[in-house]
Amino acid sequence: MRKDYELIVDLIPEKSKVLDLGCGNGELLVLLREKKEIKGKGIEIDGERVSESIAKGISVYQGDMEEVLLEYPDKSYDYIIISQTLQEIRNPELVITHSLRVARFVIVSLPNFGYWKIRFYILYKGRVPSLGTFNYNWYKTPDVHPLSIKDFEDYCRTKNIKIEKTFYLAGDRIIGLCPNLFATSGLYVITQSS
Amino acid sequence: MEERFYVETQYYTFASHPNELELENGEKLGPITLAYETYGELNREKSNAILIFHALSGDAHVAGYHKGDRKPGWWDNMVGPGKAFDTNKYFVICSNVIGGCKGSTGLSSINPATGRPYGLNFPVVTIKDMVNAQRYLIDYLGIEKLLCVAGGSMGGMQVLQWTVSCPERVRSAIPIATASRNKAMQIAFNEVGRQAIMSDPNWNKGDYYDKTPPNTGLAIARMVGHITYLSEASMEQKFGRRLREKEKYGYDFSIDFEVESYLHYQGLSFTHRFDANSYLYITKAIDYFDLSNGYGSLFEAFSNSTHIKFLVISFSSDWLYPPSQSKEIIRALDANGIDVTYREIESSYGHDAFLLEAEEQTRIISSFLKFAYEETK
Repeated sequence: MRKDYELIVDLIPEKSKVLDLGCGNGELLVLLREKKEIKGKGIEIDGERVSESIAKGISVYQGDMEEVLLEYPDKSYDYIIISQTLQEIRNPELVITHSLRVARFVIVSLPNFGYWKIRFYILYKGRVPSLGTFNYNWYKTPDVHPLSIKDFEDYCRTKNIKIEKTFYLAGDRIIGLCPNLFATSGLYVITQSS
Repeated sequence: MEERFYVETQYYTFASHPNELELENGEKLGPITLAYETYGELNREKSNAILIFHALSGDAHVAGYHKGDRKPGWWDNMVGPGKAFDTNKYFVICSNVIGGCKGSTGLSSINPATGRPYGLNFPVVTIKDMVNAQRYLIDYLGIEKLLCVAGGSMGGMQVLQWTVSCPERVRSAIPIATASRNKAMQIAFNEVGRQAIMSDPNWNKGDYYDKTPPNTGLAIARMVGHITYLSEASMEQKFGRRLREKEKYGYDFSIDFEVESYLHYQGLSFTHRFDANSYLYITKAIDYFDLSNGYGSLFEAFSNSTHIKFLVISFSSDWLYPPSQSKEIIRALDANGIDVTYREIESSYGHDAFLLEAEEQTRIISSFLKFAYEETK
C-alpha cells in the first residue's frame, strides 16, 4: 500500500463519514471501506475515473469540487481528504475554507515543490523539472498551484488554521530532518481554529 | 448472433367500482387496466425486482421480441440476459402508463359510463397518478420492496415520484436524463405540440375514434418533439445541408433538405403508433410534474427517502433535460445526506442519448445494481 494511503487509513477512525476530493478511480475510498468500514463519497471531474469508481461500488459525484463543496451543509462529514490534489485546484483557498467548514477534520497531502531535486534542477539546469511525482512537462502539468511544505504551513499560520498532525514523506519513508528540503510530500490533519 | 428472446404483453385490471383510483385532480378512474411485461425470474426472497418506466412515447415492451416483430423493445440494448439490467439476475418489470395508448386504460378505452371511447372525458392524469396505478401492479405481483426503479426522461420523473410517493418500497433509484420539474422551455415545446394537434380539424375536440384521426397535427407535434431529442451537433453530423434526392434547390416548398425528409418520416411513422389525445394528456402530465409540489421544497420532498441509493445520469449534449437539472436533484439529495452517485456522460446524441449510449450506461448501471443487490443479501 502507498505510504500516504497507509497513513490516511490509520488516521481515520472506523465508521467515519468521509469525502474524498478528487477521488480518482476510488482506490483510497475502497481501502477505507475495507479497513475502516467508512461511509465514503468521492468527487471527481473526470468521467472515466468516475465510472471506475462506480465499478468499485463507490458513491461519487462527477463535477467540479469548487462548485459542489459550497452546497454541502456545515460539518456534514467527519473527514475530507484532499490527497495530492491541492496543487491542481484553480481556487485552493476556497476549497480549503469550505472543507474546514464541511468536515470536522481535513486531511491534506501535497507534493513538496521545495524538494531538493527540484531546487537543484532549476538552479543547475535552469529548467522547470519533470521528475518523480512532478513528471509533467510545463505545458501539460495539471499543477497550477505548485507549493512547498513551508508555503502550506505558512498559509495555515496566517489563516489561523490549526495543524493537528504532520507527516513528512520522502517517497515511502517518514522523515524528520529539514522536511522542506528532503520530503517529497507532506501530509497534514487540519481543523478550523475555534 | 445473440439468441432472440420472446415476450408477451400482459394485462392487469383493478380499481373496479366502487374502488376506483382517486386521482390528483380529485376525479376517480376505474376500472384500470395496465399493460406490462416481465423478464427474468423473481427470486424466492422477492428481492431482485426492478421496475423500469418508459418515456413519453414508449410502452411496456422494453426488451426482447414480440412474435412476428422484426424490431425488439425500445431499450433492448440495456435490458436482457447479460445486459445492464441483467434478466439472468433480476426480475425486470416494465409497465405502460395510464392515459397512454399502448394497452393500458387511456383515452381510446371504452368509458364504462357511456359505452363509447373516453376521449376528452378521460380525467387529466399526472405522473403521481401513473405511479399510484403502478403501485397496484407491484402489489399484485407480490413485491414488497423493489430493488430498483429506473427510467429516462418522463420515465425518470416516475422514478423520482416513486422515491417520494412510496420510499419504503424502493431500495435504489436510477433517474436518467430527467428533471424534478418541467421548466418553461420544456412546457413551451409541449404546448407547441398540443396546439398542432388541437388545431388539426380532424381533432374534433378529441372525438375522432370512429373517424379520421388528426394525423397532420400529431405528426407536426412529433416533428417538434423529435428536434428536442437531438442535438445541434448530431443533426449537423447526420444531415448537414444535404439535399434530398435533388441536385439543386426546388424553389417550390417541396422537400429540399435531408433533415426535412427525416422529420416528415418521423412525424408520419409516429401517427401509425400513437394516439393524438394521449399525446395531449401525457405531455400535460409532464408539464404538471413538480416533485416539490405539496412539500414546500425539493429538499423536503426527499426527507423520507434517506435510505434509498441513487444513481443520477445525465448527458452532456442534452439540452431538453440538461445536466443542470440533474444537479438540482443531486443538491436536494445531498442536503438530505442521501447516498447519491452522479455521472454526466459525454455524448453528442442530445436527449436521445439515454436510448443510445448503451456501453457507458451498461458499465455504471450494472455495477450500481450489483452493489445494491449485494446489500439485500
